[in-house]
Amino acid sequence: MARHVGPGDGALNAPGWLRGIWAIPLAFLLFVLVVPLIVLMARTWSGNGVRILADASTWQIASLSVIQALLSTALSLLIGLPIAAVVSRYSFRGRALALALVTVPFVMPTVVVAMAFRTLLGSSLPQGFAIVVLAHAYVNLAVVVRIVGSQWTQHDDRYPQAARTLGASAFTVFRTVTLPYLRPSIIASAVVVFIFSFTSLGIIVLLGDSSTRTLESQILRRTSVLLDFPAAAALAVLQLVLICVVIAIGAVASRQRGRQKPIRAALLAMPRSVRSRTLIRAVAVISCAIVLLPVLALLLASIRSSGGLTLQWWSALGSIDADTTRIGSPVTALLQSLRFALITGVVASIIGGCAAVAVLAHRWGRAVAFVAIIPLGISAATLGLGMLLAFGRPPFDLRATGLLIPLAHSLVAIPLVVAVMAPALRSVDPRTQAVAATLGARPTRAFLTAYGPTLSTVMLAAGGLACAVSLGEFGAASFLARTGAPTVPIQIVRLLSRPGEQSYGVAAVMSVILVALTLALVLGVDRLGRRSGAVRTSH
Amino acid sequence: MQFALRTDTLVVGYDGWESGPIDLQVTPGSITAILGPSGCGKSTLLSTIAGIRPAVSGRVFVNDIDVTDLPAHDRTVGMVFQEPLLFPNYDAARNVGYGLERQGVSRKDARAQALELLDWVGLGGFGDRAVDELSGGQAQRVSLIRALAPGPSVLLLDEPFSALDVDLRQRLAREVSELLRGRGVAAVHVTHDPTEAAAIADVVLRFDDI
Repeated sequence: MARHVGPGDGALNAPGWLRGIWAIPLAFLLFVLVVPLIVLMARTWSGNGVRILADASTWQIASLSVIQALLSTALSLLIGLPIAAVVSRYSFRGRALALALVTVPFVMPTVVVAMAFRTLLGSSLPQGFAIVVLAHAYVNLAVVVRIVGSQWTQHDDRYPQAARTLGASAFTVFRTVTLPYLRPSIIASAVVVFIFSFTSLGIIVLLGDSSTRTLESQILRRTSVLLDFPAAAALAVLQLVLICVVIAIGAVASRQRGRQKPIRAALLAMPRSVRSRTLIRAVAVISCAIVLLPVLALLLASIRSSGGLTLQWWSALGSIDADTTRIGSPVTALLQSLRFALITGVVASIIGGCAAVAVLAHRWGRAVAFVAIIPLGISAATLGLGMLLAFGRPPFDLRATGLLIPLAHSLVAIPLVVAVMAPALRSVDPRTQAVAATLGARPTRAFLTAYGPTLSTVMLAAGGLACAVSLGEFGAASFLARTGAPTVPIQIVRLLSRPGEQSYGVAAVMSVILVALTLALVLGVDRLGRRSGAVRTSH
Repeated sequence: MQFALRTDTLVVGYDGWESGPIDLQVTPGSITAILGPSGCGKSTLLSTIAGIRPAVSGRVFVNDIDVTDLPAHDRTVGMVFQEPLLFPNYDAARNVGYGLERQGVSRKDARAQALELLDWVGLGGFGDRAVDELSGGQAQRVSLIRALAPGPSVLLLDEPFSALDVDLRQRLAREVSELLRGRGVAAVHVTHDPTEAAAIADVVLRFDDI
């Protein structure tokens, strides 16, 4: 859609009260993001913090983390690029379903993905490096397919055609014309996948062993097992620096001398040759199978025991060992997660919404929106630890309020809210506001006439997305959850750490419920998006 | 008699739409212009001859060899599109040498030849230029010699001047005509502009008549 000039660009005046809206997200981010990061860095310079940075084992773990993330990224690209080539480009029956299915792993909570992989491959692949890399590739498939695919659909097919008429074979055309065009999106998706794999925690905790010790898992261990906060803070800062280096390398690598002009996104008709058609269909079917198999394995695990098919794990939801363990009942965890999700949805959509509106309303808005997406590059463990250090004791002890987890989840969700809302709002024609003004509407009324309908729809959609993020989030919550009030992902991990068939079965049931809730939310967001014609759940 | 290009009851089309049968004959070294209104199928005809689109039915011969089932890169048919479509990841000279490299010419030799060709069309010194630094007319000239560099048996021109202003269009049409005659390359030029067709071609045909 053509980008219109918004009031933030100086074309129109926003209502007076809106011009200061940037202060709301900025104040929130200062308090919830910047303060914890400063506290975290300050703790690095005390006690064991500096010593651990000089320790050889720290750098060994850092290297292992980088190698693991690099291999996960390479595998994601290897599987994701052929899928992007087929699912994003060709028009065939079932394409929309295939594209939706490929997105499923990305919205699935990582703990659930780990549980699914353990169920599917547990007997053939031991815990460790290989299964961790496979699970990361599975989760991040959608990142490659969506980012590269959306650029691929805008590739002007005449460039490859021109190369063909100059004597280039299909492979040469791909190497010399298509690949240079796709390079920025491939690098962008690689950077995102690298960061996600580098900072992954749920998958490492459930599927890893000593060969997959990462900085992220060590931050958790130092915090919750060794209670060595300065060392944990130092590792978090080291991780943050390495992420910044990767982002900088990505930015330099994606610089291009010139770019082929993209066209309006369009799908290609299926090729005529039977071989090409068969290949395209095969890739589509295999990609769906890759996505569905772990989910089906999970579903099966929730209704199977050593004695055969059973519903006993489902009926144990409300009562599992409620009186004999400190784990608490699954239903309690579910209600806790839903409560946190609801608060996250409200907080993230308001703060993210203000940041998105600020882009339209003030020249500083874009800078604030940029600050709002920074948490995307910070690991959940770093956010969780920072908040624990800053707000887990006087003078700002927020533990008793039960707000620490929703606030941390909001930080994780706000970048997605901004990513969804800002483009939708910018696609509104600001001339509508001018028309309303010329018809006698006061500034606020004119603004609401132009932006109100889109604002309400995308805010609801973004809130739903934030709820989904909160439901599945494990990293930050694992630092902030109190023993008696775990969220569902934490409950799943605790159940899996106990022996016994019942724990495993109930963990599978909780995973299935979490998948169902997350998918319902994401599908709802997608439906809202289609209605408004502007919201996309891909991020 | 040998033809540089011949189509035999060629039917072109896509998505259920068809045009033809088309019987076209182009002698070596001659320039044929095909006139027709927008949307009549001229570009589809050229794409089909170039091997970019499959023929619905009929045959295409280049130098009396049946190329109907050959892929585009094996046909020795060059094509210049409505827009220059220069590869932006390469400079102007690398664009011109692209087809030569595909024939096995080393990158260095291809560049040397490309620079000569650029010089020949008045773009000496432009070899190192990024393609987005070229004007519309310069870019289309580069696109033209890029198509000519690998020595195609026939060159197809798909309204290559339509995006340019009137003065430039007429000047380039004259230049292209001289260029093609200088190199003795057979060409098919499709356009909706009768003046442009007359300025370039030896033979002018109406699309409906072929």
